[in-house]
Amino acid sequence: MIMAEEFRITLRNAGKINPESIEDYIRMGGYESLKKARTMEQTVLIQEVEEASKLRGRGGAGFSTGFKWRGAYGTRSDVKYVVCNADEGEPGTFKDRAIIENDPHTLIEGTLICAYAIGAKDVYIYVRGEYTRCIELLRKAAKDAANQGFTEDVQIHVVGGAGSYVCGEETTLLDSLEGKRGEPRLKPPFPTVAGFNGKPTVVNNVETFSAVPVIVEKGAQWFGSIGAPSYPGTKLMSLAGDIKHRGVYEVPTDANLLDIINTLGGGVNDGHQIKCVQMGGGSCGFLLPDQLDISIDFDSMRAAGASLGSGSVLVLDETHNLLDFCRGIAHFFAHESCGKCAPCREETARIEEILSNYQGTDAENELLESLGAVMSDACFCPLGQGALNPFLSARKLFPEDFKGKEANI
Amino acid sequence: MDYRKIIKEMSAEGGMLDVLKALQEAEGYLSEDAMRAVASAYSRPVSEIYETATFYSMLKVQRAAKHEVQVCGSTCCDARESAGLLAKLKSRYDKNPNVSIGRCECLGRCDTAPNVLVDGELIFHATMEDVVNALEKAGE
Repeated sequence: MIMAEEFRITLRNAGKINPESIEDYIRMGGYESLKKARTMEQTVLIQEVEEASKLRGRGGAGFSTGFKWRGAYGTRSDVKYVVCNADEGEPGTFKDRAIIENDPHTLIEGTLICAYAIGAKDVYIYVRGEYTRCIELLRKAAKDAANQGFTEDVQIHVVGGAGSYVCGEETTLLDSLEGKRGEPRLKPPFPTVAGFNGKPTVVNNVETFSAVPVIVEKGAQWFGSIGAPSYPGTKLMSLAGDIKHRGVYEVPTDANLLDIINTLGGGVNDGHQIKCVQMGGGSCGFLLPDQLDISIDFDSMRAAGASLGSGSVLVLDETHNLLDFCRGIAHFFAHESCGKCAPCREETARIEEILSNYQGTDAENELLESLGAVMSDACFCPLGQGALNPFLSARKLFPEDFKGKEANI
Repeated sequence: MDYRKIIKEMSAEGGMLDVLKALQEAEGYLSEDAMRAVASAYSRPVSEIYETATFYSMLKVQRAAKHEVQVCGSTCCDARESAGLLAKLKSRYDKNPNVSIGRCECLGRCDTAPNVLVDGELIFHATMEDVVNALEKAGE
């Protein structure tokens, strides 16, 4: 097997520049892509992102980036918006923070290229409230870019969140940006038709925007040749849990998951073994050690019954009891449910309650399964739809952890 | 307190949530008067501002304890024994009315789990000793 190696596109300047210095960024060729993009026809630029590079969103849904841009470009409106989703709240994910703390201008440049492509005059970067350093860096970067004339007639607004997981969902984020409580909106209309303030809006993740300058600079063909053909480019993986080298690593999308854990992550701590890996985020199921030998790209993951999600890799060793772990997750979802729809609001609370007194009886399992079925059918957004996934997956893989009283609780 | 000045300054820099956070920072919590000032500045009903203020976990409409300790309990911190740390802290500061101990959700610092916020300051790879020291420094 080829050893996993980092391949840095979005993190290409990390550690090489001072993130507070626009001069450093310019010295590394920064804002050249923006200049180049502005000489291109908007439709050609969008096509470059859409067809040739096949760039797909890096936030978790894997949706075609160019398709969004084309939709917003093609919608007639006097005002359009670019919104960057930097509300990185998925447990186990800290990649966007790595990008912004190392190289905020890459993100700014990506959003400005998008603004040009769709004809927007306002860029909003919505950063989760906990990332105070990121907010500070981005506000400085936006000012510096404006002072150097790179923003032209585009205004960049850096807006902080105030602690809410569900605001990471794109339509919820738009509500929050408008100063409202964060609740997901009915789609359609999609944000590209009616988004922020009811105007056509492109919402992309930090990592997605940060890949754009390099695509413009080196060409879509170059980008398309990296990694897996159906999901080309690189992916930032957040490695956490019981491994030696926790951190963010950028790898080609055809990298092997087990290899990433063992080579870049240094494997589990000495004297321990991998019990399972929660891949993709808090609502995802678990993978056993023998299921890890797969490519990380979106489609391979999905085919294997797993999910790339936001690229978080949480490694658990054999010391963990999965019932305890699922209780923690149940608390998380009960706390973060926005309250818009009854199945999620009521049942996330019920799941937490049932798991806190869980005895492992058939009646409890049947009740949980029926709650899960109702939630996946009736919940308004993915938060509720997936809230029971970790429990269902863990109980199937590790029934011995779910024997109630005998378990280590 | 000059709410209007804070609202004007912060709304030039960020969004309405930033404004609410700045008002909270200045007064220790979001008072009814502060929310009324925001409502009038944004031409919205006060009830809507209250809705927003009570929705987000970083916003508080009641005066909080003097010192607030938040232990992240989401997946990666949970995997690094944050639940045990939270329980120990709770029992140690149980009788101290100046300190509130609670769980918060993912802080996006999963590589340095477990993470704890003491009055908003991050302590990473947090131990019982670290948190106790931070609180002692703060005068508890």
